[in-house]
Amino acid sequence: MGTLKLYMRFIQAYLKIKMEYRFPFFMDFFTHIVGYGLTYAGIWIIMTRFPVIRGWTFDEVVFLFSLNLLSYGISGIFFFTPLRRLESLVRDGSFDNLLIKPMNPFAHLVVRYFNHDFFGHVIIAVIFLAASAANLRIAWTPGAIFMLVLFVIGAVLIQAGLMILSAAICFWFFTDNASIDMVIYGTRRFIDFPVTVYDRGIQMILTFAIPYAFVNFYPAVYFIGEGKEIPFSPLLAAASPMAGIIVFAAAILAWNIGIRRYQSTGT
Amino acid sequence: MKSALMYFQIMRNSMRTAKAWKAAVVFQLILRGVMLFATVSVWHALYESSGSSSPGAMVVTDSGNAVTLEDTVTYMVTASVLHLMVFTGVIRILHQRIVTGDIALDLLKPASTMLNYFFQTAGESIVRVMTQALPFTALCLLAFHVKIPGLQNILLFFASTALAMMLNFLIYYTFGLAGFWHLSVNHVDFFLRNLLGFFSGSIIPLWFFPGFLSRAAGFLPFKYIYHVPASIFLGTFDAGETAFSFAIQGLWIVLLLLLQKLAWHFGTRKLVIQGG
Repeated sequence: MGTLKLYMRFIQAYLKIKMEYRFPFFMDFFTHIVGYGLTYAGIWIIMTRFPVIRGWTFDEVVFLFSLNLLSYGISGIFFFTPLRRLESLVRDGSFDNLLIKPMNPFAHLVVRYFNHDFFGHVIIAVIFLAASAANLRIAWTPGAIFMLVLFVIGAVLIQAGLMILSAAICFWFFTDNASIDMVIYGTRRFIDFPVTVYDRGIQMILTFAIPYAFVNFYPAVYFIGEGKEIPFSPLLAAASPMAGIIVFAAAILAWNIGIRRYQSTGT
Repeated sequence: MKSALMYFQIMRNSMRTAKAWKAAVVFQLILRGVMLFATVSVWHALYESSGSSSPGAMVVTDSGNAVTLEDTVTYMVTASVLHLMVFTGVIRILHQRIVTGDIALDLLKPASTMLNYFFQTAGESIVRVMTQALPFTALCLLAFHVKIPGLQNILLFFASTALAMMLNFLIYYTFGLAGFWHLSVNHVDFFLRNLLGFFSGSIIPLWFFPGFLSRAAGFLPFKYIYHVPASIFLGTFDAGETAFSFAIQGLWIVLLLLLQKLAWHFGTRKLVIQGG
């Protein structure tokens, strides 16, 4: 509870600084909205030329992509900056500051860095998610809304968990942030389109090892999976929130093991 | 003569610094390979799912031949290698130096700031070609079904790439000078990267673009960085188109040289260095 109160204070201070310069503050959202707008335009260009990909149409791919972007955006607001900064903190020894405070170092790291840019991701993802769902005539019954919320929570936990896992590698060795980039910019690319694009081996990796398929593929299958090829079992859709909890727990475990290995640079 | 030697030395120094980062390079190469693999898989699936009667398989290149999956894969591999050859970090460096006031040190040097950074970028590019682009290309040839063109195309491709690298540098350098007007360079950089990525054809080949977007891309310099060298490599340009594209590349370079000169002139007049 105390942590939450502290977080609010940090966010207040953060917004005060950022709002001092209004124009850049709004540009932060705007640039991301335009950037991802171009990504959607890219999907549109490709899918006007090739109307189906493994049985998925344009609206369905947009729905799929938006689930990824939405959960990435939400998890980015809270986790992107702290974890992308972790390696440099460990490298120059300023990580020590977190260890001597009367607070869990992970919680402290997270509450210290908030990132409002990612609201841009969330805004554009919600717009396209709603538009594609309308085109696909998904009926938003209370049950369907409940499932969507559950899926998004699970997806956010997976995105956050994978960010934590790939960042915690810096307790063992430095990769100049390449390990975290590899996950959020590289591996995440694999779920821009349905995972049935790839062969069995990669589907297995994306389902059981780096479970990005639970971020958007299986949840999307729950709503619009009819008549599509579904690897393993369509029942996996229900496992999405569970996958989120497992990945996040594993990430915290790895973090705790890593932090025990941490030896300050002494500077 | 003396200044040529100086710029050569600048380039050699930057080559030495660029060589120092080894572990990160391996990771970045893997990242690039993984991303390219995902892209190539998507194109395979698109061609397989939509069949040969889909509008995409009917699209013709400038030479009038239908675009095959092999063409598209070769194009994507070429674009990925091109990125390694033309990349520049100059916009971040300029931003850093303007914000900290270190740009004053550049003003003191008996060298053109633009050429100074250009030769730094060139040095980095040379190292990147040897340590990254070559092994990466070798891997791609093994992993993907890539079309190998004739020797003439390869030579013209390298000539076009050299101009593309200059063009790419000049675009980022000129926009980097926006920092003199206290514009947030982060935004300029992000904006430019997205716009360039889209309209250069580095993400989706321009031949798939609908008419109005492809016309829009024609008015911008970006396609001369990716789409043009890649098309020359693939041999989808005839001799006339190739010659024309070289001329336009040159024209954009001259235009940007003038623009950066203007920006530099007015920017340095505005510049105030806050003590030390």
